[in-house]
Amino acid sequence: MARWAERLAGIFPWPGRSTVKRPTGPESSNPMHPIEEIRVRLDADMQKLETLIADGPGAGPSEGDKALPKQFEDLKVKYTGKKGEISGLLRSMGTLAPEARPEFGKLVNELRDYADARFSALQAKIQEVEIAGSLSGSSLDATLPGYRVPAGSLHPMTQVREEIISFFQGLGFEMALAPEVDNDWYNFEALNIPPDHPSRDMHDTFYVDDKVVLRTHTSNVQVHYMETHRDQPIRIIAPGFVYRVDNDATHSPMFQQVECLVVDKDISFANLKGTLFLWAKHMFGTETTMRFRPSYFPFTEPSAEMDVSCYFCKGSGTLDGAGGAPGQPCRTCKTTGWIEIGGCGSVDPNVFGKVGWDPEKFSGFAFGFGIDRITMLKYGIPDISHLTRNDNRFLKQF
Amino acid sequence: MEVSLNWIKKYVDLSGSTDGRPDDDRQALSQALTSLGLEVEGMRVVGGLPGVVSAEVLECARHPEADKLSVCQVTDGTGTYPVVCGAPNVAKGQKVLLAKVGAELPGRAGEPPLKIKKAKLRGQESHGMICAEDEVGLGESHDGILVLDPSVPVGLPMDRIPGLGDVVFELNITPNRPDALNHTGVAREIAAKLGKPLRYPEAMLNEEGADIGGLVQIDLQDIAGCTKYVGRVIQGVKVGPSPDWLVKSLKSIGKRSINNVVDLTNFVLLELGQPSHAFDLGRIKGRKVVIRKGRDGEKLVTLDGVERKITSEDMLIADAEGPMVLAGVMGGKDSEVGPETTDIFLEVAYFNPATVRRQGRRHGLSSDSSYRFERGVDPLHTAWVADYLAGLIARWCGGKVAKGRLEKSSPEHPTSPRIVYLRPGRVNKLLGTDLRPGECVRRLEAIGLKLKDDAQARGEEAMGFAIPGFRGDLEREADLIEEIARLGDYNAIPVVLPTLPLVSAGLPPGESLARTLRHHLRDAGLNEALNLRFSSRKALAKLGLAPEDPRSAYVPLRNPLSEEWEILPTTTLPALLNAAAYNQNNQEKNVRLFEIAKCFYHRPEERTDRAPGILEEEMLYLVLAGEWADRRPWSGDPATAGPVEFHHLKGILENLLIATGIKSQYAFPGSEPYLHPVESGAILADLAPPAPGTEILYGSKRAAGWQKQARIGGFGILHPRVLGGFDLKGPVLVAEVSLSGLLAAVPRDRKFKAFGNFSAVSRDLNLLVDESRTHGDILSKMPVSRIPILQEARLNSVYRGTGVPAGKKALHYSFIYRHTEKTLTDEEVNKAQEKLNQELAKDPGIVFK
Ligand SMILES: [Zn+2]
Repeated sequence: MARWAERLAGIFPWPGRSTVKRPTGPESSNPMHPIEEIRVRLDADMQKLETLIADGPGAGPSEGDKALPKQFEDLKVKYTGKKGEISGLLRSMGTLAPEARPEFGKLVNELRDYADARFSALQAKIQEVEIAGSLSGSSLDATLPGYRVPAGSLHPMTQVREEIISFFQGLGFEMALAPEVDNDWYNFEALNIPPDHPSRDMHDTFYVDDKVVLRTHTSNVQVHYMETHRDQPIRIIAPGFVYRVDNDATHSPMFQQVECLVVDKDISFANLKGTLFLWAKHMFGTETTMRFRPSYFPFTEPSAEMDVSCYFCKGSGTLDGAGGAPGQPCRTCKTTGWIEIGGCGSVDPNVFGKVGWDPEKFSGFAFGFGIDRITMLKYGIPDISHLTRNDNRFLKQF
Repeated sequence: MEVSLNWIKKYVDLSGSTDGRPDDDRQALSQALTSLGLEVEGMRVVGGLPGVVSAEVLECARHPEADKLSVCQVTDGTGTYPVVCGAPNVAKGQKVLLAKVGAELPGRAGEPPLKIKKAKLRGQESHGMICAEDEVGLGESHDGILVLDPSVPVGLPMDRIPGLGDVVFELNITPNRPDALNHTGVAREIAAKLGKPLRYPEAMLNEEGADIGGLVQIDLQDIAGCTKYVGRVIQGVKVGPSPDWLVKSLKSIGKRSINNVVDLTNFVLLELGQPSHAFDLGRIKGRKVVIRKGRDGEKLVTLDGVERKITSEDMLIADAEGPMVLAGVMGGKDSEVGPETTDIFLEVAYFNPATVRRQGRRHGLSSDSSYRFERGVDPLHTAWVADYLAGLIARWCGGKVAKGRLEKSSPEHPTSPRIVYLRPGRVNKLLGTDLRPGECVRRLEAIGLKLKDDAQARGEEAMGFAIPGFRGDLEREADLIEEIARLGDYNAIPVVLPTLPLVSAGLPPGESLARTLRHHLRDAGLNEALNLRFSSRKALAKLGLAPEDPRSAYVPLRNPLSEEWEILPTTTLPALLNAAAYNQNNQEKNVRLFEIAKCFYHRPEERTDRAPGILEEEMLYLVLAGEWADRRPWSGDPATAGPVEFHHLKGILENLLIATGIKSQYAFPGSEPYLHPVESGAILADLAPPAPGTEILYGSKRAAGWQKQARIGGFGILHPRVLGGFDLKGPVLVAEVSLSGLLAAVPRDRKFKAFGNFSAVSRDLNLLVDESRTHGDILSKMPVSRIPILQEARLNSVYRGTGVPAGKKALHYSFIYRHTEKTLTDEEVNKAQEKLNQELAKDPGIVFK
């Protein structure tokens, strides 16, 4: 203010019209310079409008609020419009001494900048008030259900299958496939399961004819793949459906397995365990415990079954901790606390022999597990028939 | 297979086992068996009843008001209970079985179970019951209460009282381990695990009878089917009830006692794993035992009472006149040992496993004997078992063992143990372990192998092991390595990730496409279904396919589970329609299912030695029913609800084809017999030129060569007849698309198309046409391809109603014009539109409005 007054003093005397007295200060006895006078008046007018805004915060638009935009526009035109008072000052510049004009022009422009700044600040405030008013006027019932595109779903087995494939793909396993209806050679003989051998009892087989069977395991992919990729390192993952003559709460005549095969020069049983542990921790969480126990598959030697701790009873065998009655036996694991996940083992030398590989040069491991079983575990599905009944109430959950 | 713990204890001392487990730690024993590969599938406590414990009678006084009753004070160590007892033999100081309050007893034969409650008997409190044998299922005796041995501690649950209780383990023995199909075999494994000796039974034989040579002759003819046959004779036997120990042993694992001779053969089978057969020597005609092939036309009534037709493939034990036994599988009624039998011919043999297996299958028979023969019995043990069993029979059934034994064998039959070589370095390489050779030897010798040829001591790598006869499965080094791993516990083998080179691991193209489709359809609001890949002729017939349709060439199963699942599906449509009906019946009216399913087509001409002559194809199916949009149930907006329409399905397919980048056209109507004859269509896809060398498949047909366009699917409203056939409420919409067809049509490249930044100009047109005219028809009249600046001819609405005469409809089109390099002038657009209008005007059926 002081600087203003000094600079205004430099262009006195003003042939002015103002009769307004300065409100306060040492110069109050003097009539104000017109530039200053406009400014003081502008400040006062603005303040009036601002008071109106401040009147009813959050109480909805008052009558005053509604009139605000109009008053604001009028005021803006009055001061900064083409025919407004600030422009009027410039137009009157001709009456000044030529040497005073530059300084006067500068001061008027400063006043204009000042006014513009005040108006845009006030405009922002008025808009805020308008937005606040429009927001509080909403009668939306936000609790109504949303408009949704019909919700689709992927079968839970598809999701688990993709998760397993992605995991092994990340480790560099290539996905391989083999026929579901296959020659006895691929499903049995090349896998060291000769005809009239009791190990065929482990496979309740669907026959098309004497030589053609519905594959009883995904292991036929081992034979197909090794026959066509001779003498080279192998790392494959092979998901697919397999068939057994079996139908109850935990067995379906068709179920999905995933098979892995790794063959190279120095592959050991310890490598099999390492790979399976890595996967089991990924799939079932780090708290899951695992065990290997000896088993028998004609195409692996040594052969093992891999178990993970039961998901339902957390390995205890009873449902005490899982919302069941005290001592209520866990049906999922038949109270053993363990769930069989799959079979595995080192590739049997006879299999290498059947497909024409040298078992002295190559070693490998293979494992296979049921995607159905893992899906049931993961989602707590009690009955395998849910997986193929296609009940909307089931499918829509995934 | 079931094994009894009491029985096992005869062969291995389980007390104070090396790892400090008590002998009755059944859980630990069960885990040990499983860790050995003899998986325990179940454990059954025998002879135990909850709430029944050993107790001591502290006081015993006459009931004040009943002569025949006693009032006892009985303790189980934790409490003392008053018990009123009616047995005459109850006395102070006895150890008895006490059924405590809450116990439930099975009840005597023909009576309901008995629940023990607090009671008052003639004024005297009674809090329990002192049990008699028959009350706790231990026997028939009700003469008095069961008095236990004074050494039995009080408070033991009944099943743990020596002599009363037992545990039966149900073992899942894998086919490679016939040695574990008996009690000594299982005991051997436990002994090896615990580091204890195995107490194998010993043969006790006194040959006091006549010389066997004068009693019977053996003629081994079928030396392929029977490589060793041993006979013994026991004379003067008394056939009758078995001794108590024998009945109990058999009963413990649920076997019925028949008579002492038969029971002993069964006992030896369960003890040693070697089946045997006892003949009534007196009924062997001509005193001649012939092991021969059957003859067509021969008949044999087996022990189960069934008359079996013998074929030339069968192997028989016959006498001079005819068949006596279906070798290795089941005996015949005629030569059966009965009460009148005095002389016994005992057979112990080694039958060829595959022969017995085929024999059993042919006659639909499986017995304890055949089960073991087909897995392989100990070929080196045959004569010894004959001696052992003959000794047992003489001891327990009376009689004298004839001098000598008859033995016939094939030159092929092994006479000494097989030697298998092991390289300890190989053990560690294949297992990833760091085992010393001495540890390998220790583990193998614990299960009966013998280090025969310690070539290693001579500086050679391999060690030779003599394999006992009962381990026919140990043939190669790999088999020994497995034994070493197994006996040391698999869980002790290190966990090491393999070190393998980095490779790029892709997905097969079919898998990538299937994933794209699945995810796209999921996002489009469909639910993925999964059906069993079984179907039936009946279900397939409902679709009304022509006989020459590839989907009529189904593959039947030889052994289906049921009539509904008798063939492999050539289409999953019937299964999906059944699923839709199932949902409709469960108040789930809105069905939006899709499935990518494998279908199987019979292609006999492609059958080879290795190829089954069946084409496997993946197909995509869609089934829609009910309301399409259930998303605004409360909005009251009719446009958002209503039954699913043809164009819903068409829109899904259009989007699907866009998502895969496939260029396609439709043909209307479609030609599928299961679709509405008018409201249906076929998808014609522009096929991408195949990469050289790839096979071209689509729509279940192997294409002769590449063609530009192919029919890859059909869709539309389900034919009302089919709708009825599946008990569906309509309308139901279905689509069937070949995945290999889609795959052949997916363009290998997708290229950016410039669109320019200049604004578009549009012109509208209202056309009045007959109801019978289609949009496609009108569109085809527009010279769209001849007006380069015409970007899109868009149908905005089809209107019927006010201002439109009956039988007509108004089509409102917008034409979007745009040039990629400049702003179009009005004149240019008007000129183009004029050209279009002139073309349309040539059609007298089109009226401009
Ligand atoms: Zn459980």
